[in-house]
Amino acid sequence: MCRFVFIYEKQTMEQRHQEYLDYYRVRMRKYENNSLYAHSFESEKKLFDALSQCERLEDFRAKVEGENLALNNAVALVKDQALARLELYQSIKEFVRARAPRQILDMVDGVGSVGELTTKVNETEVKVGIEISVDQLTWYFYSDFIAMENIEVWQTAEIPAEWQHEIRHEWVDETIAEGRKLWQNTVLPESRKWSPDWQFDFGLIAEDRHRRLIPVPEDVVQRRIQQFKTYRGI
Amino acid sequence: MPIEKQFADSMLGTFRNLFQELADKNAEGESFDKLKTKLDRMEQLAVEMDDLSAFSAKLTTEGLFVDFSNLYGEIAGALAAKQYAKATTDEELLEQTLAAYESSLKNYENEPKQKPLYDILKHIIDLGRSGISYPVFLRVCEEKGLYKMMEGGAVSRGGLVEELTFNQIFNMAVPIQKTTELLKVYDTLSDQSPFKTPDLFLFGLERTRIDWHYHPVQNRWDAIVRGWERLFELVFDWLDSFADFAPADFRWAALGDMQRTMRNIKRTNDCNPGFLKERERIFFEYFQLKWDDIFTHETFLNEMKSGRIWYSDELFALIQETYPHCKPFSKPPKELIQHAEDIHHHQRFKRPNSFELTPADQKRLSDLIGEEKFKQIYGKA
Repeated sequence: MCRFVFIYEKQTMEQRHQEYLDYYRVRMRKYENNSLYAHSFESEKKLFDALSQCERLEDFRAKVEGENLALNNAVALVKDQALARLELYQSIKEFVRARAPRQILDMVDGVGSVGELTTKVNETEVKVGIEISVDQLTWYFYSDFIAMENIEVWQTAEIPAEWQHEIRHEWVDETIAEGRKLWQNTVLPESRKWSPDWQFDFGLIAEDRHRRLIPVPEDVVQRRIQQFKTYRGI
Repeated sequence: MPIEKQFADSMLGTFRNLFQELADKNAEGESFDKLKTKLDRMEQLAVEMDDLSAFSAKLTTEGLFVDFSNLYGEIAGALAAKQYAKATTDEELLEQTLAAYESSLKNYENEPKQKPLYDILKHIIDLGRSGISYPVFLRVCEEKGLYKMMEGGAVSRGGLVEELTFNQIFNMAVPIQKTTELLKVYDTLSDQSPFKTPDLFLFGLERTRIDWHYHPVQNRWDAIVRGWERLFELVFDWLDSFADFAPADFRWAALGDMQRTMRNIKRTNDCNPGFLKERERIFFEYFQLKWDDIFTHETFLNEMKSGRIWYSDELFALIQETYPHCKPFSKPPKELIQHAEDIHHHQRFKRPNSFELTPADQKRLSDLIGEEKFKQIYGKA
């Protein structure tokens, strides 16, 4: 009887071992021949190999813990995804967005636990998220095009002399005064909630990620930059 | 004055619920105390601050959102690990996994929009309850892509189709192209997947690329529409400013001040042609388009087809007829002014059904956003 129970249990354990092998094989194959998940494939392969080499299923848990295989697996996936994002952002010249995956790649090999990995990834994403918001404050320039076009039209339109003072001076001066007031009282305080020392950075307008969003020729952009300085008093 | 309760509730509600969830599970310790400190700080800011955007910025820049999320993850993870550590056999692990799914299933029972997710969860639970072992359960879930589907695959496609339908109802040309492309990418990735559900991470990358591609396209489109709308308006106002109804028209009337009203009218009489020429110069400088190019341009054709041109055909033809006369120091011919007066007095200026949806599109929109919301917006079903 005892011998029968032993054989039955042995067979059951062997079958369970096999079932786990099948499971880890499926996980490994999910990433096989997929260049996006090269690290994840290697890491899953290590898990599968570890299980294959264990004589007993119980040894596997010790091996996973001893060789940090679960952490390595999480790190591998984070690394694969960060590399893919970095490649994308670089290819479309979104250099501020690219900071998050780059910083994640810089720190990912040094983490000691899955918890630490999650925390550091979250912190990086939030930090860079704020940097992206601050970078997008450059969009104030294009959103002022309507006001700048109005000013240009009023200043240059061919109009009778009787209207010139009102339109070329009063309208223009009032619009500029309002633009400067709004900049000082609203735009600057709002923007500095995100970045305390924020100043409009004219150099960013020429960066591809901003310039490509302004659908007008370069000479117009250069002219509008000067008008923007006047309109906002910068 | 504190942030309005409804806004504070909507921003902090999730955090309050997450905190309560851990409290209900008897979480304790240093991390849990820190979590409480973070939530208390959020509540304090909601009371102390009165500007919603400043409040939101403060929560982010002080790192309260991320700190709270990290602490929550740490505590919830530790609680789960403790729970799983108690499970010593595969059977117990399977039971705990299924119990967790069954608990989630209840949240989706009465949510029609979550039906795909509900069905997937139900499928997973039925699989787990079918008598198979834990590793077989895990393997089949992987093989059938059930975990991938649970990430939201099935829900997301429905969302994309809805987005496309919405864009089609309002005939928004660029968003239609964008959503069509997104849907195509989604389906291609699904087809490539052995589980027939796309890798959502990869889809996210493609979405970023497509959004990036269409952002300047949309900006250009909007700027062109804005440009020609302004040209039409200048000609339209100019002609009407010579008409007999101008003194009573809201565009010029200064309440109880006829002298000012007449000055407003004269300003339009005198200045709009000069403004028009400058606007045309800018429009050409930006897009290399002239007045005559507008009427065959895709932006114009699309807006006309979509009922977003307010002027009736008759008025629009009159604007086009007036255009050659709208030159600095000129006046429109008398017969054009009379025509404008006739259109105005007989109220033929507005295009019938402009800015209105066809009955078929009203039905589509009502189906899409729900009858109640549709009634709120359009006042009818």
